[in-house]
Amino acid sequence: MSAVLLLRHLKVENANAIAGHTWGFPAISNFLGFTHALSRKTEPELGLTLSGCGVVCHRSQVQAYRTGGWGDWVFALSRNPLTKESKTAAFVEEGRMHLDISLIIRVEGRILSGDDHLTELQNQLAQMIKTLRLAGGTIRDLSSVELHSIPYNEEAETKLTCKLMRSLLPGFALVSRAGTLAEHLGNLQQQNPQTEPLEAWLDFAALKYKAAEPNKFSEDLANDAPAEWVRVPKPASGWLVPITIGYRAISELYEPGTVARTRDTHTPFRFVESVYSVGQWLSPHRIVRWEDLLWHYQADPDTGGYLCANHWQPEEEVETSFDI
Amino acid sequence: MAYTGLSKKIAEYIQERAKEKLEKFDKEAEKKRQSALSEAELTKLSKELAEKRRHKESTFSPEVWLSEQAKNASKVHKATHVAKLTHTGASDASNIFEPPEGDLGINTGLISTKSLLNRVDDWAVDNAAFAPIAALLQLSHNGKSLIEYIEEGDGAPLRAFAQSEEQCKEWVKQYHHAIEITEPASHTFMKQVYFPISKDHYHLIAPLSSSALSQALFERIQESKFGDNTREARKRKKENRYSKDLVIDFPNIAVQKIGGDNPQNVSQLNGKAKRNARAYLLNCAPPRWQPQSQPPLKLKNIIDGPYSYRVRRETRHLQQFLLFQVGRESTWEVRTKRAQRIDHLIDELIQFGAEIQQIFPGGWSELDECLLPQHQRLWLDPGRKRQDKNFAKEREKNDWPQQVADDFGTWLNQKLKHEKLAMSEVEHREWKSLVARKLRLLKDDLGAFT
Repeated sequence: MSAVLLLRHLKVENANAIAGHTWGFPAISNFLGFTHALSRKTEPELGLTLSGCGVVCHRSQVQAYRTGGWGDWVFALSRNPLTKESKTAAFVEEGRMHLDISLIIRVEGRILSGDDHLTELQNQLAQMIKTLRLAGGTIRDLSSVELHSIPYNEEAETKLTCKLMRSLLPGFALVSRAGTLAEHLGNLQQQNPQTEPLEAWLDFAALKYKAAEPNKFSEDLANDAPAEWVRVPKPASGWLVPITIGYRAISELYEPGTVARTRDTHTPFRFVESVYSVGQWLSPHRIVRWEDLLWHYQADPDTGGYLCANHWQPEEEVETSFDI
Repeated sequence: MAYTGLSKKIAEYIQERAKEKLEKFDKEAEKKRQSALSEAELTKLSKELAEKRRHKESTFSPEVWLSEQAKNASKVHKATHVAKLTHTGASDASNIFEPPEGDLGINTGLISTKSLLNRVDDWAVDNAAFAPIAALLQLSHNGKSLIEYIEEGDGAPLRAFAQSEEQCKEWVKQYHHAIEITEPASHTFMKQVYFPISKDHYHLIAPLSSSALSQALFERIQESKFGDNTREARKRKKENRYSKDLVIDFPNIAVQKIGGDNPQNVSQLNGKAKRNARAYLLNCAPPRWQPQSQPPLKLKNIIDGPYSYRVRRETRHLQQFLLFQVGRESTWEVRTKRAQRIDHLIDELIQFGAEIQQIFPGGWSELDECLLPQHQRLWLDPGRKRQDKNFAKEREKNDWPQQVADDFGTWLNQKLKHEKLAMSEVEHREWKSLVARKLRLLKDDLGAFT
């Protein structure tokens, strides 16, 4: 049977704030990795398999600052032990942040009925979770662990979703808008087939201003004509951010043991690079189906894709006019 | 001997290097001569220095120099993905060169090194001392660089300097090490992650930082900050004058320093001439507000108060948006955007409400200092229902969501009022209907809070 596992207000300290060429939140693959690590513990001990993980962020604080209070952000670094020669080791910059998040995880397995069993199970899970690390940071606190069995009745399921989502406010859930990025690139390429995909991606991260062409007809738009500057709206609405969404192979798949200095000698090895896309921080009360929050591993070794996928789709704005 | 084409460029380069090194030598030699104490010492010193100089000069004869560099060719590597960008201590880890392919990954919502149109290749160097090898291999003539010749196994440009055909072939073989991976290797400092493929079956993947992508991002962000066109456009924006160029801002960029004091020890593009040890990072953080530190006492209206302040920028943008649309055609797209902006304001209202509901223990709305109208107290202080039975009953009646929604509607209309926004009858009806629809949804959302 399936159930929803809700880890409320997980407080993580010193998590990794840098994900590829983005910063401000750990890559979603961290949370999938955490779920997987937890699953490897719960399977033998509790008979539960975990798959898929959704993240809701309540509070976050990156240890970065801006010199002078404006401009680019710079990371606050830690003081590390001296080298053998009693000198400071060369800096390898790391970004750190504190997080207050909740995780929603899908659970499969036999869960015995009865409140006692449920409480017992929740306690055991809490114990396991506190021993794990998340996104390179330590788990300081876990407010509560909740297991909700998924009702068979669709209406009851929707009600459960509604109740859970509301209880996660205030906070924002991360969902994928890869489709929107693809759409935007398609639109740009219709106008100019040579558009670089990178441009389409950057459109979601940039704030653009343009001078509105004056309404009055002036054939020679003398560059001194007074004009109003307006924001060029982003390709789609919502708190859209560039995110790291997985990896892509850049080398062949090496046989175990053929590459030097790998972590182990019995797993096939591959060099990869980070792949980026667009995500949205969505207010949970907009989520209709709780599964839409979940991210999953999506591996395709043949094409070299090692991605994280999420199936949330934006609602269509329904236009009904004059319905007073 | 007169060289032609690429060989000429190579000879020139070697001469340049020679000149540089010899000038440096001469300067130091002069210093040493100055510090000589006696005539005898000076002559002896001069003889020694002359000897050393001759020796140094000979190392710069093309044949000798090329052989010397060829031996160390494996210490540089043409790459798109550079290992040392991840950790400067990861020497000997493989650098990867990914050949550009025709397919730019269209129609996928994924961005990677494959998404670049004009890619700049990087040269990973183990140590800046070997940088001349990279420079040598990049020399080109008529659009073909030395490394391209080497890749094809063609030693033609080097033939002019070699003593024999064998030596030339040997050089080509040695210089080829700059582009081939003989022994793939990773490093303890490199990130290596297990990725599950299927049950109990994993792949060990090692992400490498893409210097090509880093360079593309760097160039674009630098352009938006310091480009000539940008500077002009920003000036005009300030003066509210027309410009055909856009002003582009990348807010909240972070700069990560790579390689510390010696960025050229990592790779060529990371060096002083190009990125100068900087990697620009784009922000992906969730929205964050200053949390409320006090319960909302001494306030008459939470909406036209702290909430209004919090969303002041969005309301201003919405007003600007509406003002801009005055006199323009109201297309479906415009109406959708307008509805989305209102949705956004409503989202923030719900978040704001949830914050207040959760942060403060129930009962604050009972205090004398609380001046909020009853329906707002019912909304924001659900904790009170535990202590106060009457309050709980009133809350259940569920009249308050409509009243809160009405408050929002009133506030919104008042905020957006502007003399230029006098709407026509038709537009006014449309606006009213849109707001009414949104308020209904808001009421449902608020009421769903237990």
